[in-house]
Amino acid sequence: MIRISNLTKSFGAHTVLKSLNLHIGFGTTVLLGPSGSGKTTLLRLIAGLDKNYQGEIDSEKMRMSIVFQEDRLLPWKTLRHNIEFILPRDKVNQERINHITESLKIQALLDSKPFKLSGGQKRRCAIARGFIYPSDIVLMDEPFSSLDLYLKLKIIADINILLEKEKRNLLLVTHDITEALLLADEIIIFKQTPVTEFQTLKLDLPKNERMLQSSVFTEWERRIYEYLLSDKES
Amino acid sequence: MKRFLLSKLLPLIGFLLLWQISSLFFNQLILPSPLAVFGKILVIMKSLTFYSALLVTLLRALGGLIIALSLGIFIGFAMHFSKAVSALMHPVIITLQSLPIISWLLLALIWFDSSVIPVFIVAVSTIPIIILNVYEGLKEVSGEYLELVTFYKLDFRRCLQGLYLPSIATYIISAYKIIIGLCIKTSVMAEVIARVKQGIGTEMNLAWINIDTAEVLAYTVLIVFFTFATERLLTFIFSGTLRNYQ
Repeated sequence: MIRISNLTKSFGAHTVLKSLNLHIGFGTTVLLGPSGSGKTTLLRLIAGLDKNYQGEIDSEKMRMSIVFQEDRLLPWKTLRHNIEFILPRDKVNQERINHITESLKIQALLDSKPFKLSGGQKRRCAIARGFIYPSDIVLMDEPFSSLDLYLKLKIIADINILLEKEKRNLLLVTHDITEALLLADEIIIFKQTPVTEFQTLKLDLPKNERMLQSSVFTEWERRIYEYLLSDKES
Repeated sequence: MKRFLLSKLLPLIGFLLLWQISSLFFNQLILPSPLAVFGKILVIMKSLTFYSALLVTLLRALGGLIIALSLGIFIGFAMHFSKAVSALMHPVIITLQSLPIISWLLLALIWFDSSVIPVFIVAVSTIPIIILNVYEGLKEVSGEYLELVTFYKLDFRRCLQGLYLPSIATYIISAYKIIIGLCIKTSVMAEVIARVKQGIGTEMNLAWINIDTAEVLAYTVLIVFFTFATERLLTFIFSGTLRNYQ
């Protein structure tokens, strides 16, 4: 789906990604790694927000939408208008807006301005905007980092239902193992900066909160920690 | 209520008392009493000429303001999007800001017909404020929003309507108090100097020629009152708009 060949990205003398070759397939892919490991940099390159790199990113002309780490809601617009603002004029479909916002439990707030909403409601709106846009893949950059665990689990559960219903692809950047395990079909773990190699884990876990208490979850968590820590020691 | 009495009414009464006492020591031609000025205000407000003069003055101020807004917004945008225009316009704005209005008035007397002069003076005195507010407003458009519109490849028209204009609206609306006061004051001043056929300035000029100090002061009080009233009216109108943009 997205092929990355020989990708190198530097900020001055600091190289973040070096000769990286990567394939991102269908479904939900999570880029996991510690802060500063180049995950967001890679997402921004895939999104086309930074065009200053060497190598090749082939996204097969896929339509993309994005959910940034911050809400980025225009304060003078209602949630409905914030969503409509990014949509192509011929793609403003109120039925779809209602459907997705209903799935994310913010439909009743569509005519409110962002300042009247809680952090969690604004986050849901930013996520809804990413899903309502007619894209083949939704890119998400640490979308839950500002939320408490309870709210995070609730939103993740809603996203999983939405992903299932919509059959959408998702590329998520996170440093949180729980988020990764709850959402991912595939986890790509970045080892070190500059990123040259990585570990790919294919998962087939039940995507619900109950999974957090299961031994399978603990086992996967242990494997990821083991991998990350062994990397640190080396 | 007590607070209003202490903060607003008492200083006003004190000022009027001081004025009344001072007027006892001067000739009425030099300093008429507040009562004499108040009497003149009543006479002026009963005459139809005053209202037509007021309307003409306000229309001139509005005309100048519309010109300044149109040009100011255009130049502000051009400065934001072009470094060359910005480099070219900065010294022009500094010059416009530091040039005394009287210099513009003298030049306008040479260049224009007298009735146009107040409109021109209002425009040149408010345009730097508008340009700078538009420019600053555009600078404050968050990079996060710009990234959002870049990612979704939104056209300029949509960015203008949804992002840029609302961003500068808060700046222009917050500067309107200064702008309104400046528009009315400069319009009247230009009317006095340019000796236009109609306007509050014309009436003040006539009062001055007749050495009717009470009338000159009465018009001054009326200008202050109408400037304040216009500001309050616009605050009322804009309060909803401002809330929309916050």
